Amino acid sequence: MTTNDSNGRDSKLNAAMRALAEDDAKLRSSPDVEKRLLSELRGISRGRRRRTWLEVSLVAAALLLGIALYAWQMGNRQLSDIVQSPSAPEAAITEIATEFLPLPYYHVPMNTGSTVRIKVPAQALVSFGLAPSEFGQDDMVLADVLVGEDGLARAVRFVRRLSN
Amino acid sequence: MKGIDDAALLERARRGDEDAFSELFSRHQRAVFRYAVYMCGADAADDVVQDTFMNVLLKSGRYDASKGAVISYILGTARHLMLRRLSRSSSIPVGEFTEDLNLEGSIERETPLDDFARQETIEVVRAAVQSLPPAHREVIVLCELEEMDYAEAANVMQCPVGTVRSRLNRARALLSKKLGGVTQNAKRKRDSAQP
Repeated sequence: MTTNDSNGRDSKLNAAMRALAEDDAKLRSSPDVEKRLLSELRGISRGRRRRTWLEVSLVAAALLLGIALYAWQMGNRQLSDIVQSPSAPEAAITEIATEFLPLPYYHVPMNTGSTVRIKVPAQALVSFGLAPSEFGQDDMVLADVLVGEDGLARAVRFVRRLSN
Repeated sequence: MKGIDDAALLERARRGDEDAFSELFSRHQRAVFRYAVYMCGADAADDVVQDTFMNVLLKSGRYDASKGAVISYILGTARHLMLRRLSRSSSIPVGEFTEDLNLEGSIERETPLDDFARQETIEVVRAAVQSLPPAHREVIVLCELEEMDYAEAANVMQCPVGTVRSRLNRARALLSKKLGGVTQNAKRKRDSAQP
């Protein structure tokens, strides 16, 4: 920069500026300033972590509440009600289902439970030791998920509809 | 941390990375400190540095890389804080930071002739710089001492590049007069001291 606009600038001034800049190189803020700033930064980080935890907790609570409400709306229907009996005379379509297979929270005690019917990729059967040989790569299968009153999924069973 | 650019350091520091902050601080605290020493005085410089970096940390999302380097952003923040500080203390009218002044008057008021005759030291040059009106002192600090180019200085000073250029020319002319005058004065004194 000092040589950019050399017209009208004498070399003495440039030399003086260089000397001053070099002398100023020893200027620096007190070490306490950095310590104070680092301390502030830690405080800010702690505050942010607390806020993040609070936000995550609120979202999780909202999700659980939603699931619980859904489960409550489904009522206390018996699990067997979900699967129509093949012998029911009015049934135009019947279903067969596997046993309930345990999920990671199956051991958590529950008083009441409801099932939620969902569709999952047929390949999910493989993870339960079932071989979906007759299903294609993209086929979906029905599954009933058993959800406790606390919103935790305890078990799942796979369902197949049978046309009469 | 050494190989990481300033923008990435700033981003990390804002997320709470202490190492990133320390690196960013060590890279730029001298520039902020020097800027503050010249514009507000040594007593206030530490506070300006602290407030500046605190402000930079807290103002997430305010740095726009397309508008200039991180150092310009940091010095711009420092400038804003110093203007506020000066307007509160009223020791220097804020207008002097941004407006051109009667140059001749300020030369007459601050020329350190006697000092220079006694000791041609760096302190005299520094005093000459510090005796400049704030707007001219600022452009000397940024362009001459920090060696920023016109665009970077304009970014810090929030003014057109042409203003930086003209202000720098005036500031240099002022300094030349101050230092040239004292040189002549010193020479006269030396001449008169000879038998």
